[in-house]
Amino acid sequence: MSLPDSPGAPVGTDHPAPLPTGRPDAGVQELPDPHTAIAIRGLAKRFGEKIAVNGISLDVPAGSFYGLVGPNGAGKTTAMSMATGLLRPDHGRVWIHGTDVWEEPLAAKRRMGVLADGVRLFDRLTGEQLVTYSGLLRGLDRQTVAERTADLLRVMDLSQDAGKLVVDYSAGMTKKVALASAMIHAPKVLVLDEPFEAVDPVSAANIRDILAQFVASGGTVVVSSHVMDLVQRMCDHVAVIAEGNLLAAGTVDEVRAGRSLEDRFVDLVGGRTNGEGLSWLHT
Amino acid sequence: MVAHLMRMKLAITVNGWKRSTLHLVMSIFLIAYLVLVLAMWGVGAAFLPDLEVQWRGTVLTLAGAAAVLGWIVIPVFFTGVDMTLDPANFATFGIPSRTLVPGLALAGLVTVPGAATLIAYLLSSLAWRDSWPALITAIPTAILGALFCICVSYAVTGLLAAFTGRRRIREIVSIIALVPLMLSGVILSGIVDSVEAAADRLPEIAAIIAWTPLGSFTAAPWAAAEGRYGEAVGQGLLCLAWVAGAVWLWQLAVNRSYTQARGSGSAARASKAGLGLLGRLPGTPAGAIAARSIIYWLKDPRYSASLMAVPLMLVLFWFLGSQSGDYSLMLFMGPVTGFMLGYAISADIAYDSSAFALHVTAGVSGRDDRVGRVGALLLWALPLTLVLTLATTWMAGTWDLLPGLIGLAAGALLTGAGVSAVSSARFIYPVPKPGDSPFATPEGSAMRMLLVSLGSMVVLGLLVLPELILFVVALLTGNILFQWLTLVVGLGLGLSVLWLGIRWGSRWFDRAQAETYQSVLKFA
Repeated sequence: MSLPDSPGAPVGTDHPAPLPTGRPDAGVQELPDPHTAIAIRGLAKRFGEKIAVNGISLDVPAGSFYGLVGPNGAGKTTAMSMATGLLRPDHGRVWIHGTDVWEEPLAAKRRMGVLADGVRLFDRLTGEQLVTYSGLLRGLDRQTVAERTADLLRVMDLSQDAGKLVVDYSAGMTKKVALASAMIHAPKVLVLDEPFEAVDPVSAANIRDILAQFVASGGTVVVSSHVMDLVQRMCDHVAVIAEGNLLAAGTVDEVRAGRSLEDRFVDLVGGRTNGEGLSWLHT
Repeated sequence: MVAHLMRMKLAITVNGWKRSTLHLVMSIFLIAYLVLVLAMWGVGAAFLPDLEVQWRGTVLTLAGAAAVLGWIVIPVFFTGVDMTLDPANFATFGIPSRTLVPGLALAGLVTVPGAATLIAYLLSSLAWRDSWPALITAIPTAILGALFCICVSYAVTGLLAAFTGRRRIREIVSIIALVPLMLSGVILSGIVDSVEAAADRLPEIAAIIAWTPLGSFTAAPWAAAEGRYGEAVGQGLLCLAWVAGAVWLWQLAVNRSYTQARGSGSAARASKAGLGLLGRLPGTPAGAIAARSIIYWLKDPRYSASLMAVPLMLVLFWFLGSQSGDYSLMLFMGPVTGFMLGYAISADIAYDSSAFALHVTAGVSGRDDRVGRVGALLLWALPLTLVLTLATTWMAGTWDLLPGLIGLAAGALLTGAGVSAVSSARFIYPVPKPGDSPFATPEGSAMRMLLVSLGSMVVLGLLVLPELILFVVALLTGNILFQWLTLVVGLGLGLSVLWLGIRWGSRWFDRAQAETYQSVLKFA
């Protein structure tokens, strides 16, 4: 699959999965419904010659567990960075419950908890210090921070290691403490880039439970992942991104159209080889 | 096996050169320099036969001891050991350490320092070209000597790492390394003094060293040249024993790191619970940032290194004073400390590396960020600078200079903090990454690093110029009025620059948070 000729090319039209909204004109940007947890319109970014995100529009309904899937280098992380205030988009806008991320960043960021992928933590702090630090940074009072920190560390099964430096944590523990830091201010929306990478199965199951509870209580979760099975099992909505384009989006059932999400994904994205290359391997 | 390892080592070295032109150029310079040194060493050794046998032996034995010491001290304290062929990487291949270690030792001979050592040892046998028995002894012991240097170096660093946990040992060592670095002048002059005193006794000292791992390798031919064949054979056997011992120690280290099998977290001891400083400073964003910064000053070697520099500088100034008998130089301690500490946080955000993402996603305001970071510094640096100024004035007994010195010291600190408040947000440049040694050369644009760090240093220098000039005038005229003027101008100017710096820094931070983060990310 190659990059489309024009960034304005309609996306996903040849696929049964309906796009939530048509791509609006760049000029017409009416305020989206504040009940939409994340509204993205015409989001685009290019790095030099490479178009990383090619005009994506997407609505993430409040209370949904949204999966974002795509091959490596598809633009997932770039799109998520732009939606969370880490990277300024070239075009397009993002609203978190009706608040524009790039016009009222402080208000939008208050509603959002972010787990960025591959990012360091302030790892010379202990786990407890890091989560507390994250709470205090968001202007919560000390009392609230202390209670929530203790709760979060307990739920993440980190109470034992609360006094250990984060630099000495395992990969899974590091993810969990980062997640705790992203949740301390009780955000309405959680945006998590690869939250299950390098996490052991038990911790992953615990994190899934926490996220499911969060959604059940009205929160919205967006996760990016490579693992289709996981997304199919865990999420109720899914969006497929490849080469900066949104290929399909909607509820998991709509997108997979009666097949497994993995088959559907491979269909959409392409690039499968038929596994016949290594004849010497079949001894 | 051995051939494999050697070829791999060579491939890694060559690939390293291919990766960056700068690296290649630096390596070429290094090699050219080494060739020059080796050539000089060879010429020197070739002329040694002019010397009496006793002095020849003494010189070579001491030189050999220096080489061995260098191989132990330099990796531990400065460069860190070359980990491209880290035994732990071979853990999955199931190679027994008794095969792996000799292989790695021989592979060490094809590294630049390894080859240089081997050549240097071999060249030194030129000194014995007038005596056949000595020459015959010299060549095998030279090869053994080079091998020993490599083995003992890996053994020492490996054991240190295996028994103390990699992160901690690296951090502690990287800070201790500051001591010899800063005090090298002092140490050198001490050594020169004692060498002068002991010059006549050097042959005796060398004769003793000859029986230790430091000296046997170069001393054995000396014994042979003097016809002490029994001793020569003894020392030759000792050489073999030393190499075997070093290999054994190295194996011990390798086995240890095999069994630890990447359990890198195991060395961490559970530290005390509780919030520490984070619970004591105000529970606001700025307070939290200040607490975090101070924790980093203590726990992150990249910061602690500048902290350690203060007492070391005190020792240095005191030593210079004791040499000349005039301690007035110590009076500059306060102002220099102020200047240095103010400048120390000029790359604060770059030091956060990508952890800075937390500040961005948490929506920290520029004001909180700037005030927190600068406040963390001033909280301890201001008292420290003042105490140092007072103490040095008291030691020198020059109370009439106190107002000017305080003005200069506090002015430099406040101005530096103000300049840093702008530069750390506005100009991100590559710095050593978290976990790296403070002396690690950061990857990325070296030009930018140089420009920004020099630039902010120059700006800082210009901004302290007014109080500096006033102070010089005060010194020249002896007029007490200028002392007080220095104080007033230093504090006034310092506070103004600080206020402006925080304002500008905050405004930039708020406007370009995402851009700042992206440029940090580029160097992270």
